[in-house]
Amino acid sequence: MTQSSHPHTYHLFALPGPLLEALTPRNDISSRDLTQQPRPAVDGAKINEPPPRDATTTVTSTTSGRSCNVCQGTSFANVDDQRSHFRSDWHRYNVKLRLNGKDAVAESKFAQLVEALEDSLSGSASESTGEDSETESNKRLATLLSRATVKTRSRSPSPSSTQRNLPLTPLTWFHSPPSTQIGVYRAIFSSPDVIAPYLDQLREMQNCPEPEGKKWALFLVAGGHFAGAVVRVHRDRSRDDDGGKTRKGKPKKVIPDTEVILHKTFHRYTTRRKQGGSQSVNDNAKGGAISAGATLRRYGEQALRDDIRNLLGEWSDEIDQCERVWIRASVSNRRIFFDYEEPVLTKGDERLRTFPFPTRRPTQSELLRCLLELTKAKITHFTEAELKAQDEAYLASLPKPKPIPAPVQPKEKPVQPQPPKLTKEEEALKEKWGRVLEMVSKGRLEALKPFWEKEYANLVGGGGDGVDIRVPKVAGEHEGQTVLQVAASSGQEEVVRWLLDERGADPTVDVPESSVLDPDGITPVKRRTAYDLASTKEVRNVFRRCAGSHPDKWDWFGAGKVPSALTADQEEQRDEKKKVRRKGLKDKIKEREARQPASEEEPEPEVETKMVGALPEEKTGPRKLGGVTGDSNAVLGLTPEMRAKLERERRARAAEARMKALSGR
Amino acid sequence: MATRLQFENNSDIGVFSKLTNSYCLCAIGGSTNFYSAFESELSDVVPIVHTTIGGTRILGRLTAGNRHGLLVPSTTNDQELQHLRNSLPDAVAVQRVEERLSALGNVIACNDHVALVHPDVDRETEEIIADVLKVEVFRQTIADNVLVGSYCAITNQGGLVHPKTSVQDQDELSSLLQVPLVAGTVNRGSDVIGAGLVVNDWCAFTGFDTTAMEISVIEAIFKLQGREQTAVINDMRDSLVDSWA
Repeated sequence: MTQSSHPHTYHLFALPGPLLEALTPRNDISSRDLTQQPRPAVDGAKINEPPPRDATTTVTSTTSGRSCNVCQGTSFANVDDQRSHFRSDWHRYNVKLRLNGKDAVAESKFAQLVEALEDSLSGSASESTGEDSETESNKRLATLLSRATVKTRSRSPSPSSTQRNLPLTPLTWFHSPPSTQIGVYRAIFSSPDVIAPYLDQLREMQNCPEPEGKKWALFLVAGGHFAGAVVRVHRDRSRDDDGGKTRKGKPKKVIPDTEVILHKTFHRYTTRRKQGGSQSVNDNAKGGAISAGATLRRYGEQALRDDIRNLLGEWSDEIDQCERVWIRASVSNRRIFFDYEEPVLTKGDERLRTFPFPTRRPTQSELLRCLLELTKAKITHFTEAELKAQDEAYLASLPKPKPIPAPVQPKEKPVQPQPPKLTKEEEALKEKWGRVLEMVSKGRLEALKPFWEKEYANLVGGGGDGVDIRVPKVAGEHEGQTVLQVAASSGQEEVVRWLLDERGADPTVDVPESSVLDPDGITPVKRRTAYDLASTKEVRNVFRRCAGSHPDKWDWFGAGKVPSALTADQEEQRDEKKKVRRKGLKDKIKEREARQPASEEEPEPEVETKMVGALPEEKTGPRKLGGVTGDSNAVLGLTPEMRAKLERERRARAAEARMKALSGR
Repeated sequence: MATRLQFENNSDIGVFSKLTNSYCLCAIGGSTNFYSAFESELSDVVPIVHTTIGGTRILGRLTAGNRHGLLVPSTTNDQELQHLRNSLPDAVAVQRVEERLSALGNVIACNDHVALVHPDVDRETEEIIADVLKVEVFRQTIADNVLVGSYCAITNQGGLVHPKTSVQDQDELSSLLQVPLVAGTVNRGSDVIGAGLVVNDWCAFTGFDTTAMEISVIEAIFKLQGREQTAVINDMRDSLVDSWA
């Protein structure tokens, strides 16, 4: 147990000096994480690091400039091609992948992914107009991304998210280079919740100011068994050594690191055999049993409590000198130690600790085992690389911090004035308008048509406006708007079409001021019409189509504020274009796939030769701008200044080339 | 012409102001120094609007805009919106955007033709950007950083990007934007270009800490004061950023 005979076990209070000097705290992953977040590449981890670009792409990019750095193996004939590529799903998918620290996928692979997705999502109707297919593709992309990024972070880390609460382990580790780690129970330190000053405390623990040495008290209570001891865990070695030699002149006796000063064990009959639990718990739960056994056990509990309290009283002087008091007791058993008059230990005592590991039945030997477990430093021998790997595996295994749900604040409703009493006719009118508006805003055209036919006269009343009547005040929120405006603002294209085509609603009617005005009463700058209220593109297109089909009916483009008409052949042309584009893309993919096996053979050796030259450290080390992509051995032996100069020159040339290319156009 | 100025002893003027070819927004400060600096350069050319966004002064980071329009985040209240609508020319569309990434200035970098945006912005926001600002929208990163608005400043003349942008990325961005780009810094080595520099097609304002060298790079690449862009390459080779991080 002493350090001389067992070089691989260390007593916590007698760590060798050189080791102590070299120690650095290790387990503060959270703080390390935080400092390295911007450039995790330093860690050698692949997390967040963009995939190393292979030599072929750099060649193409430096020659033409019209390539994509994210998607491998692309080059474009002109800027339009390049731009349309940057808008493509494939590119956007790759950008996201790269942000999540994954490698970009090839176009063919992406096509496969999309196809697979379509297979798995099949069953949803596929007949769709151009715009629908566009939104569908967005959905696809989102689904793909969510699948690809399930295991990675969802967005760029914010400082708060990195400071997540890592689960605290009972052991805190210190690292001593090259490959020794020492683990110490946190509970031993004076403030187990604060990470920072552990190392200082550990160093301080090595020298013992008190002449009597450091003492701990340990108590275990469970199932009627009690074991307690007061032990000396640390004594001033130099003084002991000198005394030992001068007095006896014998060769130095091996002094044990710990010494039991007082110890005591009891046992009383308290637990209910074959049922488990203590009698008092059972009494509290089910009411007092009256069997002889129950009485015996009640007495046993009582006696055990008294025994322990008496013992504590006897040991009170020693306990007062103790630096730590370790107690293992269940909730009810804990009361034995605190819940009586003038207790030796108080509940809020800072010296109190529970054992940070499972303990067995309270016996003398278990007590000694616990003591040894606490005072012996855990030792591992990992190299730094292994440690790093462990850390990463550990971080990766952590569950993602749950987003803290923002408290939903109920929206303050403006205090509404009590609605005035309505007459019967008004009540009926309100109810009818309510139904009309509901049908309009929810797009129930089949229900709306007959209802409108039937109630038209009632709704419109004496007003000469016909379908363009403004919603009366009684109907509530849409007051003053026409039915067309209500339909447009709620995005019901069918209803809008019906109103415009069949009922001949007027699109040039102004939107009433009250619905545009701000509460503070500043007049709006612009007059608005139903078209402006339209919430979706489809609805706007309905307006434009109607403007195309009945150009003379209203002043569509002036008072109606419709920007332009949309005719059938225009739409046809647009669809045609889309089809052609999509077809072109498919052909391109096929072509590429066909070409790939042939072309894959050729560039391979070239890449090989280049990669052999490059040092493997380059990938994992700090990313040097531009330097990695060029011939890195050329600058390897140079001084930093020379290297900087070369790099500057390279950048200057690149910028020059760019400007020349742009001005030539 | 590049002017150096401070906002309340802070050099990150791009946080407190927004400059485009048709208007300038300016945070309300304790003194009018900041405002006066803008006024002396821009007074008769474009309107300068004093405002807050959502009650805060960091409007440069919260808004995005160009000659055609201005996008404000959902935190903007109605009064501010109305004030902006009243103060800006009619040709400038002001639009409030419901976007989760509400610091629009950080996630959108644009000139009058092209906008680079954070890869995570909503599809709807992307459409609004395209409609209101009349630009082509590209989801991009700058030096592997998603906050494109913070790490670059672009105009119709040129652009300054994060010092660690690789040459390939600069090539790519330059051909997307169709303007020359250089990697550089502002405010004596700060890589947060968007915070240290506000610029339009004929004038620039930089933080007070910006060095003469940085200013000459800025003036050259943005074609201010009749400088040729090639000057960056010919006369200022040594000023090109070399980041051996």
